[in-house]
Amino acid sequence: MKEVSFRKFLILTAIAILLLFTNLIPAVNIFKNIYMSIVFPVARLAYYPEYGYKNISERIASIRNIYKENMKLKNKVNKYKEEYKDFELIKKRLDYYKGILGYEREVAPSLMPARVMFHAPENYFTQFTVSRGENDGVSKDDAVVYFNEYDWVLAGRVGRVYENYSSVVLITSHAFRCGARLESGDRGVIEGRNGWLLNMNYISPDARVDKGDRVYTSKTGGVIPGNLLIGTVIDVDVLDFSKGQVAEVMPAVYPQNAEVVYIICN
Amino acid sequence: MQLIITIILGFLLQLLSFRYFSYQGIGVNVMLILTIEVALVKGGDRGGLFGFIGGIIEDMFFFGVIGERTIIRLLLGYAAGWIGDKFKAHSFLLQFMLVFISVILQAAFIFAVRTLFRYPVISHKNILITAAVNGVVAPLIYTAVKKTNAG
Repeated sequence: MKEVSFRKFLILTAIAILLLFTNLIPAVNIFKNIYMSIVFPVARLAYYPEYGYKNISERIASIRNIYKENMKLKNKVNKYKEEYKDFELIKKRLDYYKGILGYEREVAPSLMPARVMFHAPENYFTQFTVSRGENDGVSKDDAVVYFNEYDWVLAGRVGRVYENYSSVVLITSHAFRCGARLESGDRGVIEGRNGWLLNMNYISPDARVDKGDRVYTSKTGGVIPGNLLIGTVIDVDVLDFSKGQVAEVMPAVYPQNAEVVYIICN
Repeated sequence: MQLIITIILGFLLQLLSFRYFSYQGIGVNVMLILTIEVALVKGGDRGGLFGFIGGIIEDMFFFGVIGERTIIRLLLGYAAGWIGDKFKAHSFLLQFMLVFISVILQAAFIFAVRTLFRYPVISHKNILITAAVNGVVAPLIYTAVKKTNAG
């Protein structure tokens, strides 16, 4: 007769009964649910290996499909990014032309684009030739402007007019003068220096002039329309009382860089 | 070590039998039969231990109350060992009867425990046929256990 250990039997029975009663503890049930959610798929795989295989192979196929779709979408995104760059360029141009049209409506009903045809090196700071002339309605001393994305900027005035082209006296020229005003309203006269900077002369001694003040054309000149941006004050010199203050002005845009300018025909 | 290997093989065989050799809930409960046969061959201690460990593994692997199979297999193992000592263990009729009654007792115990713990219970409308099928398979497993000295 085989020996049966009574003690062993009691111990195992006690453990088994304890195991049974652990089902009453909520924490054990929570653990069991988590555990079964992991184990059950494995059990299902053991019971139905062909379904498990099918499941796994379907998942692998879907991963491949997802990868392919991802690559397609990435290519599309890159293509759209390129198209967006073109769109941005077109939009910039559009805004530029809108600005032109807006100015035309508000200030200068007769705004004529003109291409810079010729710019001699010896006249680099003084003048260039544009593609509009008498036949297009251009007159001497007509203002010539340039659109700088945000503002209309004075480039110069028409000097000599020929049939189909004209010469433009640039604001950087020593021969160029026009009435100007500061943001504060104080007036002066802008004069070119045949260089990169301009002088604003005859500012009243009591005028408040600060570095960074913007300078605009004033309407008092009669020829050049008012409110055209000229540049920014970079330095101020107070001379004796008879001459007032002189400001050094940096042009907002150098007309030397322009390819297309606009003539405001009177 | 032999015990562990037997438990693992029995468990795998159980998975296969339920998957491929069951019909409308009628299947061979390999682990239960092994518990009885190991108890008949090697005594109540071994049979009880086999039932205990096998029961824990099945409780952890399958849905149900933790400990339901553990306790019933443990008791059946010891009981089979005691009966095997009293009567001729190699008798096919004894094996058939033991397994037949064990299947019914296990089903009843699990039903009672699950009802007590408010767990879903499975239908046992074919319990007698299941018990009979298991009883018929029992002598084959007894021969295998005896020859291989499994458990």
